[in-house]
Amino acid sequence: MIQVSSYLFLGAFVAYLASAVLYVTRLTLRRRDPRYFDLADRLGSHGYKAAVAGVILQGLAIAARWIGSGQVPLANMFEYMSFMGWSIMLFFVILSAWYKLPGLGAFVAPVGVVVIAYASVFPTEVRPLVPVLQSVWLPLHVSFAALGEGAFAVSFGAALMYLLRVRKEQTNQWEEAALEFTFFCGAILTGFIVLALGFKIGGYSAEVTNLAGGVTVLEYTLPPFIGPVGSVRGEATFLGLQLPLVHAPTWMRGAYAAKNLNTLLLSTVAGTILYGLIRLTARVPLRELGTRAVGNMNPKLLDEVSYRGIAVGFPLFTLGALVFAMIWAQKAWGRYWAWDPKETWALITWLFYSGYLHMRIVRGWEGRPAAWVAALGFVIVMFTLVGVNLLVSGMHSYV
Amino acid sequence: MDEQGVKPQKDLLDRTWDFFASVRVATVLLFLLAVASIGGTLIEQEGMYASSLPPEEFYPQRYGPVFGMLLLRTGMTHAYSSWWYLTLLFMIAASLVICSIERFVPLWRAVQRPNPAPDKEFVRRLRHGFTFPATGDAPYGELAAALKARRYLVIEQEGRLYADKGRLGRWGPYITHIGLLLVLIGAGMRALPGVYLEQFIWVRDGEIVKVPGSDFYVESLGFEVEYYETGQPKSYMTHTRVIDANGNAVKTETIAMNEPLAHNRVELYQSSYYADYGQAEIALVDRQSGAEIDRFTLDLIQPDRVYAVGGYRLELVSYFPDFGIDEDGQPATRSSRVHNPGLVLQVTPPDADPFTTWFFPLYPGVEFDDTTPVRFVTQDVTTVYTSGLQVKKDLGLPVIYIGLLVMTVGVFATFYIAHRRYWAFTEDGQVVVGGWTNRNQGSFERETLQIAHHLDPERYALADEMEGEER
Ligand code: HEM
Repeated sequence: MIQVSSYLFLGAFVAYLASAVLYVTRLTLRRRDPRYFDLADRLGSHGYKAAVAGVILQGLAIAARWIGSGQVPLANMFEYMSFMGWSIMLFFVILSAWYKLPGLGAFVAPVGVVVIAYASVFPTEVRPLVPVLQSVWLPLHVSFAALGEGAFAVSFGAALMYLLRVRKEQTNQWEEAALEFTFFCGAILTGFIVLALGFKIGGYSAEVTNLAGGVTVLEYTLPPFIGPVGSVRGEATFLGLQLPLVHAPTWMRGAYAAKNLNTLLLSTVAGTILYGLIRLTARVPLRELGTRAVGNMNPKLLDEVSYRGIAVGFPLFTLGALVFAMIWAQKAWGRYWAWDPKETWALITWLFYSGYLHMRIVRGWEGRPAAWVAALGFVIVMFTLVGVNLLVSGMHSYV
Repeated sequence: MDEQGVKPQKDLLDRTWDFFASVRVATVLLFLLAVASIGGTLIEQEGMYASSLPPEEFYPQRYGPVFGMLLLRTGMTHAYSSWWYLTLLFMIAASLVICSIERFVPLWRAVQRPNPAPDKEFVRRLRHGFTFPATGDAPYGELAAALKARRYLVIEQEGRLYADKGRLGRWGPYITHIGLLLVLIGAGMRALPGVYLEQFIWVRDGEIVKVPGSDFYVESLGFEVEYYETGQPKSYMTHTRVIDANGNAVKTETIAMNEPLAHNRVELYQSSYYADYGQAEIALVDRQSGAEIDRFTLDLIQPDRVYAVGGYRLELVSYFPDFGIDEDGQPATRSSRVHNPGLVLQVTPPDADPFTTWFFPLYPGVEFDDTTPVRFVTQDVTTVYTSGLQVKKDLGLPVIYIGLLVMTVGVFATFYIAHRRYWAFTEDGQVVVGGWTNRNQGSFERETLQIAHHLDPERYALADEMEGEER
């Protein structure tokens, strides 16, 4: 059953990828010549069908994994991130049925693909639940939080499109830089995923000595250019290079600090190369490319879709990330709130989106400023899922 | 005091009120709180870092003397109970209360006491609307029926029609804010005496321990840990009995992870455990012949002073539950836990002089003197668990739970229930309808069009929705 589940999962991934490619092709064709409108729109409707197929396949994959393992498949990072990817695509499918805005697919489907690919970086085997995770509140907490975040992702896509759409109306240097930086960050994340998946499939692994944080041997899944404190050059090799080249600075005492720094460095290098390649091929900044892609879509509608994503996601996120989380923490540890870093970042996310909702009812803040907040909100969501794991650890260290 | 002395004071109060009544200010406060929450996740907090050093020494060492002192001074080391964090929380609470008071009455009037006959121009200018020919003496009949079928509340009055649904949606934000206030109150209650208690107790298998802050005792009927086939722990649990102040057993219950025991508003949570060696079954053996003389049971947690075994008298001279050698080279116990028990025994045989010998029940082969006529052989050692239970009492908890429930109802009402309303009047043989909603304009527009189409199919075709892209 687990095997069936992984085939279904692969099928869903292929469907999402196809959907993303179809949507992007659709926009590219439309921008080229009005004569291609009909062809483009046919591609778009195939893209939608592919997305729906992916959502169904992945839904079956989740059910199969559940049946096969006998436990709700929401207990580790792979299961969580893939569920989040599923909820992104689910809300995309729902919102696309509400609004006639197929252009959204070219921006949201790739986000879904990236999140699913990111999920695949983590170990995919089923592990039995440690005692604290054996609670109904776990799947409730996790699924509602992920559903909310999926809706936020759609909102992110629409907000980004809105900002690209209205960019020319009033140019502001900071906003221009921030938009470009957003694309750059996307490139880094993609770079990370390409590297991590590539080395995972290639089966690379290296073990180096570590004297920090009580872990004596650190296993790297990427080549250890930066080794931990205590490692010696030549402990690992990659393409004939003697690694690690340097140590992590001594003030980084976390057990995994050096490994995370190494990952960050390699991802940045890969991301920069990717960014540079696109930039050189297109010969314009990526934001300009984005603006061309958005063309003259209705900005009011983009703004409304972005708002709607948050309006749908906020209650789900509130219930999952705060209410159920607090009830569970109370049941498990006798304290509903412990200021654990991940918990606190969920609160930060929630406060941030509350701020967004209030901005919408303040005159003068409801347009571009709010769109920026909507876009940044999802960056915070991703930081909570990716960055907090890299930088700090806490109770959530098992996910 | 004369009037001039009073006036500026009132101004200040007014201005403070206006400040907190502003949604603009509330928005800024929310973002400030979000930003203020970041610091504590990046700096290790007091009581969470893995070191036994006191904060005054830990932080300068960890973050350098200057920055470390700065962190200590600004309260960054206990960010979520620092004065600036609490001030922000307090300001948000004030803002919540004042905002809600300010807007309650106007909203009550607008939602619960709607004006069915507003200015005609107001109706005509509404974003959503349509007209249809008024026929017969009941011009609103069909419209009212269509609206009722869509669960609208319809009022016909003064020759006008008013209909609305989803009023709860308008109250959603207020419900949310009340829930939020309840959560803050529930969390703040722990500052009151007697409301909050947090303790930790260790209960060894079979032991009875008074639960601090309560009037009852808890007896451990045994701690248990289960494993998966992989060797990973599957569950931890303590079988317990609650005993009241008079010594009567009240109930028997198992405390497990995620399943605390609750009694008289005090809760016990499975939190940790450790294992000790409990009872050792020891054989006394004749060294020369190797024949067993007799056996006895040695309680490693609390050994007896004297044992009589097969005519031999064993007197306990010293006992080291966790044997080691101290800095002066003397035998000592490293802890009070039974990790590596060592005994010094004076042995008096039935027909010879007494002698003194060492005995290590876990390592019976280790002997300091192998010339004694008898030796000890350990046959079996049992394990005794000690379960660590977290004792909690928090009378604020029900308030928090109610607050969370109210808040959840509030956010779902806010975003999943839209307030939709229609006004209609008759003029020149036409019924003029205007519609308004507070959210999801697109789907309201569709509904409006469907009603219009139903009443006048020729004029209102069911067109496609708003197009997102150019054709
Ligand atoms: C963490 C804190 C808060 C949360 C989670 C929260 C939540 C919400 C939500 C969900 C809405 C509905 C927004 C919408 O209709 O789009 C709302 C509206 C509102 N909030 Fe808050 N809020 C918070 C703090 C505050 C504070 C401190 C104030 C004080 C000024 C405030 C004043 C308002 C007002 C006046 C509205 C609009 C009500 C209406 O539309 O009639 N909120 N709030």
